[in-house]
Amino acid sequence: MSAAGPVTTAIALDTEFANRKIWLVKVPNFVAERWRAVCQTNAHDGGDPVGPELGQISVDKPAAGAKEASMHLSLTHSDTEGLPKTFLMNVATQNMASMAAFAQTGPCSVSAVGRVFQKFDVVVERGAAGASTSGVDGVIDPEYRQLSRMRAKAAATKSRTTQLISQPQFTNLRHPMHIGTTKKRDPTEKRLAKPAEELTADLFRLFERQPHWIFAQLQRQTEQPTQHLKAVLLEIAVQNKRGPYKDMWELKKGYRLTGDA
Amino acid sequence: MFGDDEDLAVAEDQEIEENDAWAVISAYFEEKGLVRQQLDSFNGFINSSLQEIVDENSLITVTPNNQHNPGQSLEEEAESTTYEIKFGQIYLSKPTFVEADGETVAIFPKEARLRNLTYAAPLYVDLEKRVITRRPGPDGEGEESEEHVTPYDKVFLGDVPIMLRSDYCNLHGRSERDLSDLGECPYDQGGYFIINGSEKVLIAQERMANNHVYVFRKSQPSKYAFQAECRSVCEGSVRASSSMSVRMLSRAGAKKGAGQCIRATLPYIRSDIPLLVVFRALGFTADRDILEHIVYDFGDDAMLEALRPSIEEAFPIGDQEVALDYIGKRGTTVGATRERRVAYARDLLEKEFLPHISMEPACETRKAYFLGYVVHRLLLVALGRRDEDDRDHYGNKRLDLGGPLLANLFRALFRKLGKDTRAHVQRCVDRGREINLTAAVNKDTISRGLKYSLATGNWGVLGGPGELRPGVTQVLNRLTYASTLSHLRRINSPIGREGKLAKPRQLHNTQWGMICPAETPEGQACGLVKNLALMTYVSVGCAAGPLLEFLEECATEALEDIAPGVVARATKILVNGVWVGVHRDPGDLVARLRAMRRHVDIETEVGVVHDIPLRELRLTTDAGRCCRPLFIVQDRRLRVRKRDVVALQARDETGFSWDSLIEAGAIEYVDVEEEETTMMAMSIHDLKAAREDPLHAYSDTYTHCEIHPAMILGVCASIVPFPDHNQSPRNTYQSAMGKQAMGINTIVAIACYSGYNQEDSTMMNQSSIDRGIFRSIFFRSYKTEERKQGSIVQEFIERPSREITAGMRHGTYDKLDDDGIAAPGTRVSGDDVVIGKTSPIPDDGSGMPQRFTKRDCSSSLRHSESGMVDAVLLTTGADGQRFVKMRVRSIRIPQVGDKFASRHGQKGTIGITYTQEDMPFTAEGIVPDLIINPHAIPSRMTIGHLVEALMSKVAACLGKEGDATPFTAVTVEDISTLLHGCGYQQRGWETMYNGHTGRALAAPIFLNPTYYQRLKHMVDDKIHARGRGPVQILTRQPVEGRARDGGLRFGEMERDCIISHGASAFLKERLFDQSDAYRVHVCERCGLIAVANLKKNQYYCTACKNTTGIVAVHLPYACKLLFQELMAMCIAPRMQF
Repeated sequence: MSAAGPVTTAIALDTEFANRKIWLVKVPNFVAERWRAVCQTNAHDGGDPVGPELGQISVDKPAAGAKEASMHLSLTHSDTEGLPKTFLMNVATQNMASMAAFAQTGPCSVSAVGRVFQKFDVVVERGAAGASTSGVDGVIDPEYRQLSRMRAKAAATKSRTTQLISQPQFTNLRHPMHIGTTKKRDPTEKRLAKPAEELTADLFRLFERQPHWIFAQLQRQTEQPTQHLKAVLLEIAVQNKRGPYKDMWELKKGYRLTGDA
Repeated sequence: MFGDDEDLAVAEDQEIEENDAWAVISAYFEEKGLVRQQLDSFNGFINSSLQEIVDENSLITVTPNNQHNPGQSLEEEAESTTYEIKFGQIYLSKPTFVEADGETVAIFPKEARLRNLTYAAPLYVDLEKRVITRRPGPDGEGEESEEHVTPYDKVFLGDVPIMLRSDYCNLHGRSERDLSDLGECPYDQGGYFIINGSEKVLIAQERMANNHVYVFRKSQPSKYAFQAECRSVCEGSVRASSSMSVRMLSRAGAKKGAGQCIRATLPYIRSDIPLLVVFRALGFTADRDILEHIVYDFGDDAMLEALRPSIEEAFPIGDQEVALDYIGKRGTTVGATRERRVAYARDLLEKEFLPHISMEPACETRKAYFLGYVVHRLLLVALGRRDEDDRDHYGNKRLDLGGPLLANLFRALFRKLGKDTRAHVQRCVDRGREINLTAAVNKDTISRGLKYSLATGNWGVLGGPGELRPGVTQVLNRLTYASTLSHLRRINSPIGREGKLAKPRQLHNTQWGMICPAETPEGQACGLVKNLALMTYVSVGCAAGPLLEFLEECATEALEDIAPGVVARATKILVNGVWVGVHRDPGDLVARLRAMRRHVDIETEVGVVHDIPLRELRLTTDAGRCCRPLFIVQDRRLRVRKRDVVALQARDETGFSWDSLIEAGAIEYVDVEEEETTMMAMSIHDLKAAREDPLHAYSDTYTHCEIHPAMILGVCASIVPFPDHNQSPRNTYQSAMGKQAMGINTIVAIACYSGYNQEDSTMMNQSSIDRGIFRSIFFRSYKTEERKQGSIVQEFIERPSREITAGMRHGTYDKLDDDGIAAPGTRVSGDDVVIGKTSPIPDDGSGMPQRFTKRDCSSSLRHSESGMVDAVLLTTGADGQRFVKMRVRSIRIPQVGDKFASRHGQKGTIGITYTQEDMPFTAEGIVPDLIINPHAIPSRMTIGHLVEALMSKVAACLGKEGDATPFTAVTVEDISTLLHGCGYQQRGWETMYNGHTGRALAAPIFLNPTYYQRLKHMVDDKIHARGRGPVQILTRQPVEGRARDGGLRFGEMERDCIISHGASAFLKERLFDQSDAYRVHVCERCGLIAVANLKKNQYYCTACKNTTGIVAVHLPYACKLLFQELMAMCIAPRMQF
């Protein structure tokens, strides 16, 4: 495909092995991944050039009545835990277009590896030999089933889901609309002002109960005239101008309990 | 059971029997209940859709807008600032309510219902504000950027109504004991919402499945003969569906000389595009290449020939550029350059054309294959090799349940919220103000939007794009338990009710087992409103990813890797309508898929359809498919073993459940489409027959077996005993009546006796009534709240005083207590005031002392009802206002005119009540409670009614339950034999004696117990007469309706009748004197209405300035109104005599 670009660079093609007959074996992704990892660690460790043994292919004698021999692939490498151990190799040569394999040997050199002579699809074995072909059921490798299950589970568990919070927070909830509708206060009745010290003490007690108060709530608790309450409150507390507790009153820094953030 | 261990082991491996299926069925219902589909769907919405929707459009980017040159950024060289708002993690609490004083409490459904609150949970979102400042680097090259991130944790987004008994409901996982402590009915299954105190059900909406290819024959006047269409919707996408269709010209539609061309309709393209042009635009130029994608087998001359006109038509457009330009020219852009047109067309093919295949670049191969497949399907129909697709096939239908419906609504609302937030931020940025994100996120958008749609049923965003779909929610029907359950399993097809088309209303073969065949309303909605059968499972949808991986591992060849010639020799594999590849050995693949699915290695929900004639394997994972469980059959044997059933029956100890049965591969869910590829045995008995005598059996290749055929019925139809013995419409009638019924076992005689039970009336035993038969209690509740109108006017619940209150009601105020509310136990009757309330009259400003300072706005009892105050609730409403609810109770005793029905669509009203001594009696002294007329039976053919009666007699004699399940082996002969054994005549006949004379009745009477129902239609609620009464303000004709004490309509047909009698004086009395008689004065000269002052005897015509010649004319007020309206339109109706 290098000829496609506008700049054509000549690359040396080593055709020494072009006629070598090779097999194309399509293995399931999970096997390929494992193998790749094994090969990489081997290459990384600077292991032997032959590489570790990954698996064995066995050719079984054709069963009585069957024309062709069946072939099996079994994984022999130790690092194949959790994977099915034996696979069926289906011959897929008849459906194959003619193919050749190349290897990039250097930055500017490519060598032919061989011509695909046989193609195999490796699939997980199903059913015992001679199992009914009615397609109702077959025994599938338990490892593969496990693998499939995990996959379904992983797909079903969403990485991001709605989270449950048990303690609802009310940051920008609406503020109370009208207060004290349950116990209607007669507006003609005057609230009696307490002495400032007493009221301060009351307020501290209230702030112990909860750190943030709405003015109306405080007023309901203390039953004090607005002016007076505000005056006393301003001595010990501040009203938040913004943030999650907007418009609510909290104690001035100096009065706050230290352990409580 | 009583044998030794060895026998037990053998017995355990045995096949199950017919009766064992019931253990399986009860395990199913115990685990799933009847509203599982609602709960599953809502849980899906809360757990995943909610977060997905927020993630879909989570980023808002705002750049300062140049005020004087909108659209351009401020200054090129200077630093630029970008503001980004990101929506992150979603949090949902359990339902809570914020009282008016700011206190937050967990809310339970009972409280929400009583206080007219909404059962909703607060939703929060993590927000992030990111200010990115970019300025050119110091050396003029490159850029420096600075990022400033402010997180806002858990910002309140709105309230989400919570479905009762769903995962987030406060009742979830509570024991029965807890539930009754919380005031909840342990039998209530949930599955509905509470909005402002009223219970709302989301009705499942039926629609056509997306991503399916449908081929239809077009009827004659159309230019086209055939059409293949595909509504392509990307999985879980926001975008509206993008329809694509391929059409073949009809012979008449084709131009002279040209043959029947095939054209494709693309989204956003104004005219149809010749088929081959689309292929060329996708990059397939050679005719051979294109044909390979359509006609998989080049030996198929007929199909190649059918494509000839299309090839010729597209001949001038030879390469991709030209084809793209051809398409681009017909797009929405006008006057663009060629490059832009080509780019437009390329973009369109990538993003808008068949989006379900892919929306990424480089998907041409797959799209071309799919387009070719669509054409292939079209040609198969055009060549007469296949029938056109069936629109009403239930496999082509999907049900949108609460989850998808709410997800769509939430998506629309969230986008609106995003838009509003963006506008707010933009304004802040432009005006240089600080951005306050908590204020920018309007918490009302989502709360109000969800509440509005759920409360009114108008689905969609008010003032948003698209239409509001009405009637999606309904008030939950609570008349009987069965009606509630059935309501929660209802399906609506949003096809115009006026549509004359009968097809969509008919019961389709594929609805077997999924949709109840009996339960549908009569009249306009017949067949359009349906109900789920008992065991129907509606799929919730699962990920297709694992399935694709599995296919890859099973040697599926991807479309990109194959030559088109391969398709002819392989089987196409479609996953959710997307053609992913081909496979050479589909039999093996299907067997693997099924085997895996049966052990839940692949989701049970996945549908596997191997369409052998089409050479297709269709796999479906989408939501809204109807599925149902079936026993799996292998080698003519059920996979369920006796030991499974034994374990299931002892599930409390063994822990063996319905799901274990599925995991054991004994049962699987099969959807409608897959059902057609199965061979189903109707009963376990059929399998036995196939094993023992395969030659004479109906089939010996069974793959599945029905769990029980009775499961094809829905909730209401399952109440009918022996429905398999009835004429089918009778079951439909009973299914409708069962929703308004309250029943009891009665002794029923089918006899003629004195003649007071003719024409579907019945005679009832007054003595039974006095003993309390069919007696019921009727409750009605009244509610009032202290509404606040404006800032000053505040209503007040009190006992209005006659001295200062205007507009007092005419009923008595004596029943009110000092607090203005009638006390529990007070007997109240028509028009009595039960809750007193006043609102102040604002000062009129004249300075004069007013007589009245308050206006009455009390509630009084309905004027035709009476009863006793049962309970009073005094509380505060959603806004903290005082709120009163009152329940009034009355006892309803059966009387002449009340409606009754058996469970077989046999309804009638009481014609007379006889005391016991006047009723006929048997030798045993048995007296019937009810006598119905024998003429009710022959024409209606409700044999089930008679069988029920017979079996009831046996059951009563033996003190046992009878089995009236349909499709069982029970015969009338069996019952008769048993009855005979009890010492009765075997057909249920008895000799009876006349109650008046004591003489034996000549004929034996069919006298048996039968379960009868009292229907809600009662005379007391309907009785109505009026002499004079209220009239409409506009027309002065009597108002309509019993509730308003209205008149009885004398309609057109009645009028015609009187005219034909020639009784003109009577006609005038009805239509004029008793309706809206009026008198006007008319000027004889001009014929217009004149001014008359009768007191001063002065008459004056304003038109003629004339005071003489004015006559009084009597005419209907409606007529005078018409004249005045005409005059307002400058038309002068003159009355000249």
